[in-house]
Amino acid sequence: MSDIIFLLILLGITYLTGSIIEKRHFDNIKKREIALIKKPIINFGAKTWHTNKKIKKIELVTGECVISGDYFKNFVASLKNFFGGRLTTFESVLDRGRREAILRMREKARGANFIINTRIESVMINDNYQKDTVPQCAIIAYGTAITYE
Amino acid sequence: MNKDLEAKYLNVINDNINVGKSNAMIEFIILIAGIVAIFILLYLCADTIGCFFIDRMSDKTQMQIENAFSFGIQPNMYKKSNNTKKLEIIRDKIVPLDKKLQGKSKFPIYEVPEKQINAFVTPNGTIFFTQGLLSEIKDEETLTFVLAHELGHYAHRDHLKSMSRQIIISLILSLFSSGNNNVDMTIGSISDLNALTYSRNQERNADKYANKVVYSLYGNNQGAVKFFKLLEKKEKIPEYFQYFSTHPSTKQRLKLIQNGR
Repeated sequence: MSDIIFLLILLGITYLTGSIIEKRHFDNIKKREIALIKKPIINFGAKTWHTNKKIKKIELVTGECVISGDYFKNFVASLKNFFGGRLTTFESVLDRGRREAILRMREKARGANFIINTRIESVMINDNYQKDTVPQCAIIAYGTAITYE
Repeated sequence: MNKDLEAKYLNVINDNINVGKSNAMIEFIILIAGIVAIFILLYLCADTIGCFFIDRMSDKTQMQIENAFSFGIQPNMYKKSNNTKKLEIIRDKIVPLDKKLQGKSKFPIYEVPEKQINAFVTPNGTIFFTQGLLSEIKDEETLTFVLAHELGHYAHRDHLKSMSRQIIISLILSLFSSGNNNVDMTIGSISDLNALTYSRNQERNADKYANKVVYSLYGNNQGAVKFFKLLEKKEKIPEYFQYFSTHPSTKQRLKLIQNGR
């Protein structure tokens, strides 16, 4: 009996804290994205790229983010594992991670005119074979920043 | 042109299509409800089948199972006292009344040094009374009621039923969860509550059984009524809390005794 009460309290607390943190993170991301709208443009997948202008600097820019869901999200997702379907609680976590990583990359490329050949990679950094590990995801965005003379 | 593009980007930032629109809390409630429903359904089916077979089991099989499960019980460490001798005399009066009790266990009675008011029966028919109960209740009719209640559990094969229930629950658990810890925890908590409701039904039947015994021995049920009045005085749990307890509330039990003959 004490088990279920403890579990419910834990779920309630983590739901509240998790949704507050998520809302703040989204607000923060939106603010930074709006601020960066006129800054370097990401050019996905351009393997060959030509220009006639003189280039001053070519540089590798990366942005990394490690993100994890809270206890409540993990709980709902593991219940969902049983029935199947979209893990909507993890969708927002992944979205936050991706946008954060891209933002960091673009912030690092301050002053550049372009970022070409951008790629996004994700790595699970928890141990899959061990029980009771928290699903964590590292997302890396990288590209080549180009500055004109 | 440029401004249009900017407005488009702003729109993309504000309207996030990568994130599901559903509320996590609602999803959680639906999932829990689904698991509870499936579990209860499976449990009820398995339990009905289990009880069906246990009720039709022969006495010989019953003895075999009991012996297999009660090797760990060592009553020798508890003492015999004057109180238990008194109880043994009552026991010898009750046993000839019911055929279900004859030819199985000898129903040895022991005293447990605990202050709580309680009595219980183990799978092989050994009956334990706590010191608290024996010092509180001296009246013979009341003691008869308590003893008959425990014997009623034995006669209804409640111990075998609860054993089968445990097996069914652990089986369903392993089917469901397959190593998933959170599902384990959820189902475990639900099954706890279910086991309790079931056992309260058994308690009710044991009460009825004991009431019948007291009637046939003394012609009235003063002993039973006295016992519950005493319990009512002792316990301080409010009535709404009763879903979480193993026995029905004392008020309900008293009502049952006074109504049914």
